Amino acid sequence: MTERKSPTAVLREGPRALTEDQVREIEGASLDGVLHVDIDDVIEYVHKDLKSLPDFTTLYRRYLKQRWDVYDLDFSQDVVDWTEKMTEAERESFIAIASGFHHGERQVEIELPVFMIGASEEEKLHIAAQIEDEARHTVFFDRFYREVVGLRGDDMMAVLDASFPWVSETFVGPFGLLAYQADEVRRDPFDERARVRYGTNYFLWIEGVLALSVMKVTLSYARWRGILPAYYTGFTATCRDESRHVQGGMRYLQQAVRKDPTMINEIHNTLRTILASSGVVSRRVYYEPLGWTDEEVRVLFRQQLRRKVNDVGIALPPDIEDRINRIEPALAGG
Amino acid sequence: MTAPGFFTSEWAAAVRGALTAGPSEQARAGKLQRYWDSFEKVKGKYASSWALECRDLPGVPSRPGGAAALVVVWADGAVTACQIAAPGTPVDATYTLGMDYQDWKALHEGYDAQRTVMYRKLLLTDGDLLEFFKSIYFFVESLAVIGGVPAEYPEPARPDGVPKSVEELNTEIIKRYLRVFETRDVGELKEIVADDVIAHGAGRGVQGRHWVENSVLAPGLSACRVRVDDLFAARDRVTVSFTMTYTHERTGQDVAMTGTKSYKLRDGKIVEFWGETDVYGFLRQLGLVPGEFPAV
Repeated sequence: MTERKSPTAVLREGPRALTEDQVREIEGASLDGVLHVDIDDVIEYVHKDLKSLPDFTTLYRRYLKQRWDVYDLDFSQDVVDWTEKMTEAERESFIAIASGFHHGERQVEIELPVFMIGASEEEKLHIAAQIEDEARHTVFFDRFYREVVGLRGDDMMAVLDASFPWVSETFVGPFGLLAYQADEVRRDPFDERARVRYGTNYFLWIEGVLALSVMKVTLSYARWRGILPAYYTGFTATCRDESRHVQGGMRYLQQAVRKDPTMINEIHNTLRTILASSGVVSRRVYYEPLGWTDEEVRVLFRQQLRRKVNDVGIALPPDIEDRINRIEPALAGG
Repeated sequence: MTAPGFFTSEWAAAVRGALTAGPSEQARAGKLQRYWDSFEKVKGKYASSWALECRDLPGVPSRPGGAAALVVVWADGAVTACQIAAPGTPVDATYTLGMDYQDWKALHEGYDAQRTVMYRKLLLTDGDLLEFFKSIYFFVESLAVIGGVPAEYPEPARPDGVPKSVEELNTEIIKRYLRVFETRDVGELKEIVADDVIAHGAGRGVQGRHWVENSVLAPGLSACRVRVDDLFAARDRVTVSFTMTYTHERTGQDVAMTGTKSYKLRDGKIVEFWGETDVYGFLRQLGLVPGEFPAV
């Protein structure tokens, strides 16, 4: 963590071009090495392969090389930083955003197994690996909340209960939809239209837009301030895992549309529902203590969505473009 | 005033009033006005209906063709109909959602409505999912309102769905009867003790519920605590051994009295009972009789 650029610098710099060395560094970094990787490079790495999406076996092989042990992280310095180096306003903003992840990681872990039933054999390998990733991410946040924030609980659900007051009422928009979509897929695991609607919400919106945008906010803050090293390490490694999930998800959607072009309607209709609820906000999330303005977060969301659909070749009709412009930055809280 | 029974027409009427009034001031506090503006905007033009099912309502045998449902019909910002549909009744609703009885009860006891949806306790079983979620915040806030409507929740059905046996029902009545000694709410005795109940004990038999009421309200003793030491139920009889611990008001001393009684029940009420209580031991603890048995 030597570079101390401002958290929002990447918005002005525009898309980055990663060198082969940088790609090798990101792909091959051990958990200790992840601490020195720039989060903006990792997010760029997510997009690197979107135009020529890797196949599921390649993604599975990357998983085998990149998986990390969540129990290797040492949060002792984070505890010092949390209590001594961060202001009350910074902690409040941080928790308001991180709580969405605490609950979101659990949700994407438990809703994924049903999607595997109707997948190809190669994709099953990738999804099985992704479920393990999501379980590890859930433990990561459980540890962070227990050991750094100081929440208590006899089990994981008790800690989730303790952090839930920070979760926005609008969390149920994408994540409630995901739960119900998972149930729809459970009833007929081979209903390809239901699978595409599910994949649009899970892989494109929740992982490709929400997760990557919000990761960027807290990680660039930690890097800028030079604090929370275990959080930065674990969550940047999480972001690297997400690159595989987003690439796998985009590959699935791209193949579904190529196989049946009318599937684009399922993607559009799902986006219409998601964006209908993305213009509603129930509580204010204060980004300023973390170095961001509302408008900068809004730009980040739009950038993430547009890059995914453009790279994968999903055209958006005008009504969806219009709704994208009304996305609320408070989405980060949920 | 007693709250209406859960999933009764009286409760449905109360739900209708609560939904029309909308979330309370307490519920609105802490959320942005913009959020509630959006809620009111959706409510003002909402024209869908919900069939909210309780899959295993106690006392209602499950049958093919559905569960009991609370049917809520919206138009022009108000609930135009809100009623209970019995299992098997054809219901024409835009969206049908189902939830187990224990989760309805948990919602009533304060479980979060958002998590009720996210954790799939309530599931959409019929209707357009994407259309439903365009108004999800309106639905979740309305669900919280429904959960907050006062209601009496009956004892849950057994997990296997088998109706309770006579012995189980009679046991519940006897436990309720013994609790009256703790609450001293003699009004409750009317529901579980026959007017002309016959009580046998201490070498005599007496008739009338007032004897039981007098026993519950025994002067000089308070803070009764009842412990059931043993209980056996067979057909119309329930036999129970118990320990009642009172506080003797004059001295502040706790004194215990054991007893064994056999109750006969008919149509959900105690009609006759036999038994003895250890009055001698009770008086001995208070120093009112000698500590040793007198030589005979």
